[in-house]
Amino acid sequence: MSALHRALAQIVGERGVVSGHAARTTYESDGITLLAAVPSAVVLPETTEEVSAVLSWAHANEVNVVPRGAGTGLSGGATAIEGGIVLSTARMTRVLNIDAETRTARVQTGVVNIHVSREAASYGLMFAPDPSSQTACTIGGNIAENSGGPHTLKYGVTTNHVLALRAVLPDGEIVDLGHDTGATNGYDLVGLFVGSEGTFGVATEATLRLVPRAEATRTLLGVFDRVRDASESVSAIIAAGIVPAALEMIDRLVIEAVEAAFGIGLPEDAAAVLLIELDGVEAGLDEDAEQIEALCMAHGAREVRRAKNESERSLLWKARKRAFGAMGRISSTYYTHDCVIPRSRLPEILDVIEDISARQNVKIANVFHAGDGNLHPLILFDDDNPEETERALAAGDEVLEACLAVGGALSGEHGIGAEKREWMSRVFTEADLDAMKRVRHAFNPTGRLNPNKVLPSPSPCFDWPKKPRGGG
Amino acid sequence: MLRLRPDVAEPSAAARAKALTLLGRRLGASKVLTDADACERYSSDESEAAPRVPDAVVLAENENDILTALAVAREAEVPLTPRAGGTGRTGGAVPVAGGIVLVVTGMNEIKEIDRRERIAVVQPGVILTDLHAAVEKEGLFYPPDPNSLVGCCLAGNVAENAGGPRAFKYGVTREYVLGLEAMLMGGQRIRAGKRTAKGVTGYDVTATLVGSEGTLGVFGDITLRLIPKPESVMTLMVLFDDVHQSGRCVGEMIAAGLVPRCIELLDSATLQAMRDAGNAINPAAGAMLLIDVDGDERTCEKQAERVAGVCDDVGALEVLVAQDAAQRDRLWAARREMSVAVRRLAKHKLAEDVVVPRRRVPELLDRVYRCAEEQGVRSLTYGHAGDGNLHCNFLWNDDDELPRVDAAIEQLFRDVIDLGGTLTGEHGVGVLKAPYLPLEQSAELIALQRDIKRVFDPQGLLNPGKIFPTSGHGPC
Ligand SMILES: Cc1cc2nc3c(=O)[nH]c(=O)nc-3n(C[C@H](O)[C@H](O)[C@H](O)COP(=O)(O)OP(=O)(O)OC[C@H]3O[C@@H](n4cnc5c(N)ncnc54)[C@H](O)[C@@H]3O)c2cc1C
Ligand SMILES: Cc1cc2nc3c(=O)[nH]c(=O)nc-3n(C[C@H](O)[C@H](O)[C@H](O)COP(=O)(O)OP(=O)(O)OC[C@H]3O[C@@H](n4cnc5c(N)ncnc54)[C@H](O)[C@@H]3O)c2cc1C
Repeated sequence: MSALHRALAQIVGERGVVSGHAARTTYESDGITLLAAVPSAVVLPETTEEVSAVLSWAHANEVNVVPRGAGTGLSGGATAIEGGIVLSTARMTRVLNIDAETRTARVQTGVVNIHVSREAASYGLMFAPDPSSQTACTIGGNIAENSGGPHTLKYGVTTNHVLALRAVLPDGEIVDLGHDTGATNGYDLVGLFVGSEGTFGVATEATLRLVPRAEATRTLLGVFDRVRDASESVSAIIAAGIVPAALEMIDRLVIEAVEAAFGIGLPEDAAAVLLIELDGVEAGLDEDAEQIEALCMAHGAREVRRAKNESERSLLWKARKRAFGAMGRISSTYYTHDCVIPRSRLPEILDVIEDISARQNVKIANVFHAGDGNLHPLILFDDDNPEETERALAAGDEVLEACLAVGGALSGEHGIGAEKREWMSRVFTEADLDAMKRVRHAFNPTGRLNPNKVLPSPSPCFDWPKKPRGGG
Repeated sequence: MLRLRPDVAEPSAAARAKALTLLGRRLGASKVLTDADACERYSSDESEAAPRVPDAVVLAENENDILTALAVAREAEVPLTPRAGGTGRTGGAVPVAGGIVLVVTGMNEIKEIDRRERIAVVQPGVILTDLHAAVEKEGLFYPPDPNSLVGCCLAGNVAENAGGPRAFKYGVTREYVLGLEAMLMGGQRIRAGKRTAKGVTGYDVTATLVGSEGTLGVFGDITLRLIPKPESVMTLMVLFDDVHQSGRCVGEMIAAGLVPRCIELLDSATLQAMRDAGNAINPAAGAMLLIDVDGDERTCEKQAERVAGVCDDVGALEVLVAQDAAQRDRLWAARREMSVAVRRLAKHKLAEDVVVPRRRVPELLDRVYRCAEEQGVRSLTYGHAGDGNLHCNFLWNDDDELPRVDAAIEQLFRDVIDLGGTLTGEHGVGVLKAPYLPLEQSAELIALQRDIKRVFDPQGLLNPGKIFPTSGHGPC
């Protein structure tokens, strides 16, 4: 047994340390399997105090620590690219308290996203951020990435729903950030911590804002023969001043995959569908639904279907939320991109992506949060074919370039992580990056907590493997 | 404690002279005021914070002027205090060690309103009410509405993370700041945030800057998120026996899933002040709620009905629904002018802005009344009841009453914390609350914030004496 193992076991007990090679390999990457590195140990603390003890120990012994939730991240955030240990929150999964009157939940950060909403359901409440990975991803991961989801169009992303945090700083110090009432006193450290991708500290507990479940919903499916018509409809709905709860686009390739996987009954001959949900009080919902139907029809929809009951509604959502998983049906590997554009540029950007797909001769599928301009182009390729892999990676770069060219941002919700670090100097000036570096320095002066993420490295020291292993 | 000046070193005479020379040379007389009157005029805000009159006032016309002023402060080593509308309630814009006051009200252009993307780009000195008018003309809406809206500027709102009545439904300023430009003490001009609806590119420096009270950087252009303008609004004025009954009413409304746009509370002493100012209010009333609901016309009416129903159920004395826009405006004008009306009641007034969990509002008020009575200090309270955000006002005329006022305030803060609340809801910490920060935050947390301050401003020249306690603030 190694000294490392013994030191960690002393803090968290034998059950809390993983050190066998095979077991550690499970933690070699997140959802971006192109980037992999096996950690030297995995530690699974159960309490804030244990997290603190692990970090103090690592600080004293100059060991890198990489926090990890469920490992569903899509930017390599939880991957120990510089070596060191992985600190997993998999044993910190309790919902500590739900307060229906203040509409808040206090949770340990290893709790799976959907469990919070399940526990809150009996009070008529829910945790609004609903990433498509919500049956697996953790609140800690959501906080670290400032995750979104289909319904964050109306309800706001994770940062809008975190009131307070308990966090352990890289040297083991425990701090309480923010306040359960949502008020801020001094600097907004919760706002700053959310989205810090595991590089400022390890969040161990959080007070989350819960929202009332909507009294009523209407779920529509607009069917289009041309992608352009679907994206024009998105623009028209936004311009009309309607704020749907969700407004998602699914294109033909994704429909094909979803149908192959689940046989839900989506129109396989359509170029794209829009999944549109309205929610709120019953009064006025039908009028809004009719207005949306009219807008879609006026922009060339073939038809607009309406879910007749809850089971039809959940079937449509299953199609959307499990779309990534279904892609395996039509491609051995795919790469999930994530970028945002000003939403009025949607029609033109989809045309550009189609051009890129044709030019690089790789298929690109689209399933994304259209209402807020957050694209997820999925680039399909065969990872046994090195030349095609090159083209896929090149196509990804071109897509990002195109998004930036219309005033977009590098990431909508998956973060920068290890994946997009080197792109940062494309969108930020030296001064901007320097400000970010300074802020990080205040939290993480040694840089040993999740090293070499988010900001471009002075000299790139992690090369993308020439032959990727498995898909995103 | 109120009048104590934070312990911030004043610049030497040589440093001040150097600053004046450099300012004159680099900016010219039209942008630099040094006469005693002007310096005095720009030395206070709407709080009791005691200033040290600045040596110079810079009227910035553009971002280069801001950078120049910062460079002079850095080179001459004199403090610099950013200032917008000067309506702050905690002394944020009040210089405590002289030096330069940097005024941004001259940068007041609304540069862009994009209807399709629903964003606005404004210069820091745009007055809030001007922005409201401009975006509403486009069918859009910018929800934050501090009651100082005719005088405060967007930079001040962002620096204080200002709220307002509508925050109950729509949230505070930080929910609407997509990005901003900031000039840093080291001479850098940074662009934080985004113009897109969503985005997580790198650290959220915007979040750090929003609410930083002028201590981390000086804001230039600010990019704001807008929402569609609600079709209609209805206002209800509801009278109750006392604050306990109104508190129950608020609890019931929220439990019923109602989300009014705002729920404002006025306590018995406040109602009396309004009566004294000539408003006819039922003498039996010991509390008032002013409630707005909004949405499309049908939802709005339905909500108003349900709100009125809840009020009746808890036994409200009177429920009045404003019949038209004019009546609405009258009700709200009375609320907005209240702090002015209250000011007339005594020579000095201090409004403490605190938050407690919503259900503890009546309990806090009981404690405040008891303490004010014990200390023989006049108090009255109003505020954003839906958020549990109250403004407890203490009034006094003579300086020898000060120790009792101090005692009442300190007791208020202890009660707030005891009830699970926090010391500032929307007015910031500034000078006035800095000594109390340790009541609420651990030494480690304050140290972490000081580290952030230091990486942006190593010399400690940007708005010193704010947020963090100094020895001159006195023990606490
Ligand atoms: C099929 C699929 C669908 C997805 N859909 C969405 C979507 O709709 N919207 C969206 O935003 N994302 C989506 N994602 C991405 C991913 O699920 C989210 O980023 C999620 O928040 C990651 O959570 P996790 O628990 O898996 O975190 P991990 O992947 O384990 O870690 C992510 C980052 O968080 C850090 N971290 C984890 N826990 C902590 C902690 N307690 N304290 C500090 N740092 C911590 C890690 O260091 C890492 O940097 C999807 C992913 C997949 C695979
Ligand atoms: C009658 C009245 C009612 C009020 N009601 C409310 C209310 O309902 N809700 C609420 O939240 N507040 C309220 N306030 C408080 C005050 O109006 C707000 O804090 C407002 O945001 C201050 O804006 P200002 O432009 O006046 O800023 P100032 O008072 O000039 O400055 C405030 C802070 O901002 C900093 N600052 C100014 N410009 C810049 C810049 N360019 N860059 C960086 N920092 C800068 C200053 O240094 C200072 O710390 C009220 C005040 C009054 C007098």
